[in-house]
Amino acid sequence: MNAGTVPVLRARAITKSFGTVTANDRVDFELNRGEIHALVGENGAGKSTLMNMLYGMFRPDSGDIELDGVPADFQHVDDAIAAGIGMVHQHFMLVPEFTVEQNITLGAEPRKLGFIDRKVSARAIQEPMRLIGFQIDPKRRAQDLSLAEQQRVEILKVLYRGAKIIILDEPTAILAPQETEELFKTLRSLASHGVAVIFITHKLWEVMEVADRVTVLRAGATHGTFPVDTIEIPDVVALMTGRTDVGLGRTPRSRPARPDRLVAANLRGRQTPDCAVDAVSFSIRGGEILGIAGVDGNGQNSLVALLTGVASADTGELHLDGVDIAQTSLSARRERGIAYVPEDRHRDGLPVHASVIEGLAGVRLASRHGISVLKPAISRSLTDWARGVVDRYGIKTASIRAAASSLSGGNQQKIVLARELETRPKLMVMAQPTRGVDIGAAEGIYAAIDALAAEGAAVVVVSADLDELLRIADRILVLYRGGIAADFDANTVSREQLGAAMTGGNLREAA
Amino acid sequence: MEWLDAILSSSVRMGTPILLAALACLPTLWTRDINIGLEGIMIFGAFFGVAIGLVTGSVWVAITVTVVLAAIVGICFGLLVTSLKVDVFVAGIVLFVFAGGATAYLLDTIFGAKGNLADPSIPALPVITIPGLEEVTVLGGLLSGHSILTWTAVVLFIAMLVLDRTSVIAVYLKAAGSHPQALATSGVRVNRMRVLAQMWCFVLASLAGIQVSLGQLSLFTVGMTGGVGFVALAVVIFARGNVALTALISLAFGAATALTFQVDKNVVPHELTSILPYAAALVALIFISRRSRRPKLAAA
Amino acid sequence: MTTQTLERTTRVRGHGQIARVARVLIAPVAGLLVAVALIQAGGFQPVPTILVGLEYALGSIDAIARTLAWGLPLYVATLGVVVGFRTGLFTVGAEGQIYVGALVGAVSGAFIGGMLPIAHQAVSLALAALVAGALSAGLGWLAAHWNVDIVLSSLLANYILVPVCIFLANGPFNDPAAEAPGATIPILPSAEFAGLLPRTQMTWGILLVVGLATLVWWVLERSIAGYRWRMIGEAPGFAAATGVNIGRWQILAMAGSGALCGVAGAFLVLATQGRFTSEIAVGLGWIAIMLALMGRSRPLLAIVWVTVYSVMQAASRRIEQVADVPSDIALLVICTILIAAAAAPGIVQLVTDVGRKRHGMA
Repeated sequence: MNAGTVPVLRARAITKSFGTVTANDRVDFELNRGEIHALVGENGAGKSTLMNMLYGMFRPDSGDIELDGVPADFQHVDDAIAAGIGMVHQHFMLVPEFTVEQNITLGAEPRKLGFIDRKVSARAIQEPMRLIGFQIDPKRRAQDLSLAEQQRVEILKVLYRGAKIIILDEPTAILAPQETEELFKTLRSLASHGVAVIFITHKLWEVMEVADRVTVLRAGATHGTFPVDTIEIPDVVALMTGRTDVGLGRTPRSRPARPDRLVAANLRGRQTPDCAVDAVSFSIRGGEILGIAGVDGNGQNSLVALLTGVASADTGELHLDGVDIAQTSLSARRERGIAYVPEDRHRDGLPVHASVIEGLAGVRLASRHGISVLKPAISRSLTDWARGVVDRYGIKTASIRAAASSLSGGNQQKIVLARELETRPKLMVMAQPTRGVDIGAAEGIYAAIDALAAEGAAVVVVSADLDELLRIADRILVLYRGGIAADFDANTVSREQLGAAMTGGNLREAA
Repeated sequence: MEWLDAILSSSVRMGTPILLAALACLPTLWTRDINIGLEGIMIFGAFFGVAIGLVTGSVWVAITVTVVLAAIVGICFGLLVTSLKVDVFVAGIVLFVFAGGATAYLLDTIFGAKGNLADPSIPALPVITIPGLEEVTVLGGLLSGHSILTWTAVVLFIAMLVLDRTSVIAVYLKAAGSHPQALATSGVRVNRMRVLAQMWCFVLASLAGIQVSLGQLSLFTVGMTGGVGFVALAVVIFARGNVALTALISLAFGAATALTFQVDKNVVPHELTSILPYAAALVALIFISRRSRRPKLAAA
Repeated sequence: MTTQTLERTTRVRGHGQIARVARVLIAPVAGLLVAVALIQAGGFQPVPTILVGLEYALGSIDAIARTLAWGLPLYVATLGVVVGFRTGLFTVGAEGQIYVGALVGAVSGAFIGGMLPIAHQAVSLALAALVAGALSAGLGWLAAHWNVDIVLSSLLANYILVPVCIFLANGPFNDPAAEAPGATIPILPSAEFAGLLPRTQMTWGILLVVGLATLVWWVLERSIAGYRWRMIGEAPGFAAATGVNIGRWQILAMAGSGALCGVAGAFLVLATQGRFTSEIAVGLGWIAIMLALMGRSRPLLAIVWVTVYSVMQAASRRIEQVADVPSDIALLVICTILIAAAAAPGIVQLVTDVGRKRHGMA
């Protein structure tokens, strides 16, 4: 696994600040040739910042970087690329309208006098495809590819540029379990060819399975580098969070059987760009937490839109406590007791540049009609209520008038959650509730979801994080191509079963 | 038949500034930095073409100097929008308003004129007549008797058509607009592409302005471009970045403008007929918008 | 486009006192430099000339009244643009809507007889607001329901509305005796706003403007309606997810914006000009747009900038008399200030970054 004595990459005492925030504080990092090295840490620990500097996207305030023992100073991304470093970002860097070939060769097109040499280009992309054993039609457009295919194209891209060090930022966040396995096979194959891999993740079982060594970052500083066979997951968690009391397992739960609160019958509709939900039927009892799993793009967003009223159903019925709401608007549904925590906190969850109180007030103010809209928005009673909410939910903010952007991701999500919980909903629809939220805040969110269910509300949680669903849900529906592929009891289902359903495995013949 | 010739000829003449301005704006659409101050650049081009032509007596010097100035200012505008992070919408509005004020100011201080500048020694754009073709119906009106800038526009159109399909620069410009991070992480300087697009825009739009002033009556009147730059903006939006469509729609608007002059002034006064190209553009905009998502002028 | 994209330049680096002060000062200093340069170029001494201009603009109660009186329509129009911009609707149709308002005001003022002055003025203003507001709301409807780009549609609308107004002014409503082109029949005395201070053109209309300004400020910054508009502008996804009917509120914002511009146009006729002419408001709409941008779409800040511009306008008119420098300099200076203000954060960040590099950091 480890060849040679000099690390292929060594970063020493790297420090980087953005304004008053120190993202990296004297970080040390080392990578050996042919190694798969995992970099773990909570959200905001500084992992992406460090990697972005290794990729030349910005320069450290102090500290040095050595490649094969030779000092390196990257002024710009093309310096890093020239030095053999490639990066696969968490959000793909593929131009949607361009073809696979155009995306792979972007920035390094074979050219003749400023014009693209198509023949050479077509030949050149075959080599990386051979290396990782992945063939794809180079004429397909990036926007038509599945997420796993897009990720493969990203890897082809870095290999085309001759990368000897590949950085992957949270590569498994959008993959189904089988796709994750295939990615790991690819990474092991690359490592055996001498390519060094750095792999950022917050899923520790992945680290145990595929990495050779792991480095832990916490609050911008290194908290140790360990060969993977010398450390256990709880130790890593303790280093990541500085706590030893973080619950990792499933909260045992027994809830009284209650009548159905939400019944969906033959629901059909679509929220572009997701695929359409096709004649979906299911029900949720009061006090039940229903998890929705599936590879992104298989209808989860459409389903959320249909449940909340963001999109109107083409056909079908949706009964909440017996009343059909399928054709009602979002505001009407809110009045009927549906609450919604959107997936994209910054775009839809709260007004990031407005004040905390304006973010909290959204639903209460939205329900006013007629001439009362000329009344003041931020009244004394609203201010009192808001202060109470901030206290009760432990939202850390300088004041309720502070800009929401000054809060951490976890606290921002708390604002969204608090606002929705305060409406005492009958049905709560949540998408990716702990995305970009540190473990501590995530714990709080899980507790709040539990409490809500205990009060008898029906809860829908859409999440790309299977571990999360396995932890908090009572049942898990798997969506595949807009239909329900499976309905599992969360207490007993395995990841493999989930993964199979997510990729249509139940529908395929036995391999 | 002479009537048809006259219309065709006038369509091409009216269409030339629209085509030049639309081709100018196209790369800024690609980079999603659309320059809405197009009209302002044209006014500047029209003014400087006349001013330099009057002072030097040479139309070639006028064109060259105006183009060079436009390139320099275009680069500055590009830097404003990229390095100094000025919002391109704000910059475009200021460009438009500033152009009107600055040309009026310069007209007054340099030439002591208010409102317009006419002088017999202002040169006109050379016109290319094709002997033999001149007398042929339809083809004569279409191809002969047009200024060199019309032919420049044709050459530029063909060049852009070729570059669009096969050049690296076009790929970079489009990537810079569609997914700038993808381009940046591939090692290309996105801001350079954006500045390049603005420089191109200023150069071609200034030529469009010269066509308006020196290509017709060889004089300058305040506001003489009359909103043609905004018509070109509409053209670019309609064509969604496609070079061939841009040319086609530009000529259609050129024809529409030519037609407004054909209507008898006593039947319908010119004020009303002048709205035809804009009304047509608005109707087309409404019709097209219903059917699909279009690039917006103030896109987040 | 959200209001945040216009404001993203404010969140760049460059902390510390010097940076903050620089960010604020760059724009007015740039404007001043341009003014100085232009006057110098005219062959006159800049400082005394500017002082003469300012004296004319602000030197006495009468002067101040005269300066403000000129600016009254601009306050209303700028506030109209602010309402639209704040809702995230970058409508540039102010020019056309002002013209429409002016024509409606002139026609109503000239042709509706036998009314008490207050009533006549109120009716004329209301009609102007109605017509301009309806046209603007139409554009808003197209934007909300058919996804028609508001910038392009309002832009094109200008080039339709203004010629149509001029056509009507030359046609059925024309006053053949007037010298000015496209002039309508003068308004009846009952439609004229009563003068407040003699020789200054200041009328009781100032009360109306103050009232409208207060109303716009209250609604936009304090009321629930304003909250919805601001959220649609800053965070449309959030507004939709919390149940705001985006389409309806966009149309209402456009209606309000158009109505205010219409009132501005009518006011121009009823309080100052006495009739509609084809040159009555050339460029006024565009100035309102620029001042709204200068005011970052905030009512109070926009009012400040309208005041500054009114002073500059008055000063430049005087400077043109004494120094033969064209009064266009007011426009040129305000353009400079706007661009400098927009570029200031970027300039400061650039300088800060260069300074950091020199000291061996980043």
